[in-house]
Amino acid sequence: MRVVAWLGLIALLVLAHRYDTHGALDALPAIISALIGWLFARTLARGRTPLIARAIAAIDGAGLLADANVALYARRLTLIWAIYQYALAGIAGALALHAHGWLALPPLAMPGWFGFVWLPAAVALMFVGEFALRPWLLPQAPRKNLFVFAGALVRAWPQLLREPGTTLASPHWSERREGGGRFALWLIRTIGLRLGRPAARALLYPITVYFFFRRTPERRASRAFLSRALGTPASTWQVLRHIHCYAATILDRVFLLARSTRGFDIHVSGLDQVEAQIAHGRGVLLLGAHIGSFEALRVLADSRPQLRLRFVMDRGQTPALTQLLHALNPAVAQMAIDVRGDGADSVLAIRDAAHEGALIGLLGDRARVDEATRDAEFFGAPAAFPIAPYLIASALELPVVLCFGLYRGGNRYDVYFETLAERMHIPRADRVVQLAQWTQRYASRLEHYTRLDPTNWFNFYDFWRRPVAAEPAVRDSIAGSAV
Amino acid sequence: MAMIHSAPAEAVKRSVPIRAMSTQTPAEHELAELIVTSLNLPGRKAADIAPEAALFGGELGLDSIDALELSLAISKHYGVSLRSDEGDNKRIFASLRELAAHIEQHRATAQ
Repeated sequence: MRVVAWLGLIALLVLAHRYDTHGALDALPAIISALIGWLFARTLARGRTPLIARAIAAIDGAGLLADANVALYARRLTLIWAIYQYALAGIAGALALHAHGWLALPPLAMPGWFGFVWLPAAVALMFVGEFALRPWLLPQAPRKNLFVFAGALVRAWPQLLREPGTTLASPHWSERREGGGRFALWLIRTIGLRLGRPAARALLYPITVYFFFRRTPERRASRAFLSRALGTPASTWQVLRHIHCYAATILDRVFLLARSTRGFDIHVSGLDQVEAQIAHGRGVLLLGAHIGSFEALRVLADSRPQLRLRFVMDRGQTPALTQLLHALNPAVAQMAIDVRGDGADSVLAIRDAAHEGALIGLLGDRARVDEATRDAEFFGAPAAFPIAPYLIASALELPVVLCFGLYRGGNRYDVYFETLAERMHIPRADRVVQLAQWTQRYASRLEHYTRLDPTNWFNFYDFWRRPVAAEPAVRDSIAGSAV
Repeated sequence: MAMIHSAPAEAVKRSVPIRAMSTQTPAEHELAELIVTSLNLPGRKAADIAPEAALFGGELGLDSIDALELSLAISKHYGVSLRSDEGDNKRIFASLRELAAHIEQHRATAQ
């Protein structure tokens, strides 16, 4: 069901994008209708609550649904609405194709008339018809006047799109299922590599819209972050741009991995800083963040093929994406140091990489659920940052270089290197003070680079959320698992 | 990174005779000294570390950063390098006894 909706939406939007704006306008009613049909249809899947049942629960009370007749009515009416919307979408789509000479139909009304007059009228008629028949079809529900009923429906609308029982509280980032799924990623990769980056980039628009509607917590987090960063409430347009920027960098990872930096315009600053550290030959910890594209640092490997690069990552967090990227470039799989599993294995793998003189990429902004953190001021409020990067670097006496790759639209990336520490050294006796200083320095630089373009911020969750449980007091208050 | 879990209690019991529960062998004592000095554990004496008690997450509360520092101290002191890819680290780091046995074994093969 979802795949069909996806394909239909994508096909229509690609058509709209490729042809003139008039064509796009003609396709719009079909797209909207299909989208609404899909909103109904998806709630009919097993284990989900039909949309009409959610509406009845919101307007008349969930108690009504205990009646099997009411539940059946709700399911059937949801199905009817889905079919009705899909049918209208089909007619609107056929008329749009007809208008462009792609489909021979008898001379009927023009698509503009159907899409913008008859289609909305048909939906309104169906709604009024449903309301008029309600006293007979749903005698259990209390009577309401049409305007009260419609008003209650409009107010309840956002919550109808959410499966009942799902929490509204911002979840920890690691609890959020990967967005898009395998199918979407496969689609992006196939279209991207076969048809090229411009065609794949056209798909980013429907993907952005899809993400915007489907991923409510992420959308809220985006708006909250942009409002905080910009100092004024963020508009929907800015949120859409934020999501689009994110989708664009994910797409570009496909190209960066499959074809390296060919075709990209990558500007690097601070290269001398990282080269000076590489020259020492004892390994370098490259500390990045979930902003822009860390992948853009491959620009380094292009000019120095002998350079060893390792990435510390959590393969379990985005399994579909990781699998896709590894399939594109099997060498990347070997470069990864997985943090899932035994903590000792991963720190020892980092040790081995350092002894080989490798560049070890690590993202220092997100903390896992049970990871030890320190609070640092970040965009005007304290946020928790992991301390493991500094302790690992200190144990291995590594230099730490910040590395942020910002996406600047088109095919342009700006990569910044900046030395954080020539050689990290944190004596145990001084841990508390020094960890506070290093996390604050990192947070301040991260804020600086994020402010260059806040739409590059890709932590789509409440980054400032306070941990639920207090940190256990273990020795010098470093919690049980540090990495 | 994930917490280092201690080995299941059953496995420890099976490998340790009941009578030897709380006495360190000389080799274990040497290693315990190394742990206390290299990790700078405050208020801990080497003799206090029970040979079969969990090193990580348990009373001693070591973490994966400690595992890293300990591996560096062990390779410096004994010339034994703990591997990152053998998948055995959960067992090796389970207790003072397991770790000491692992070091003795690899020291022997190295010589």
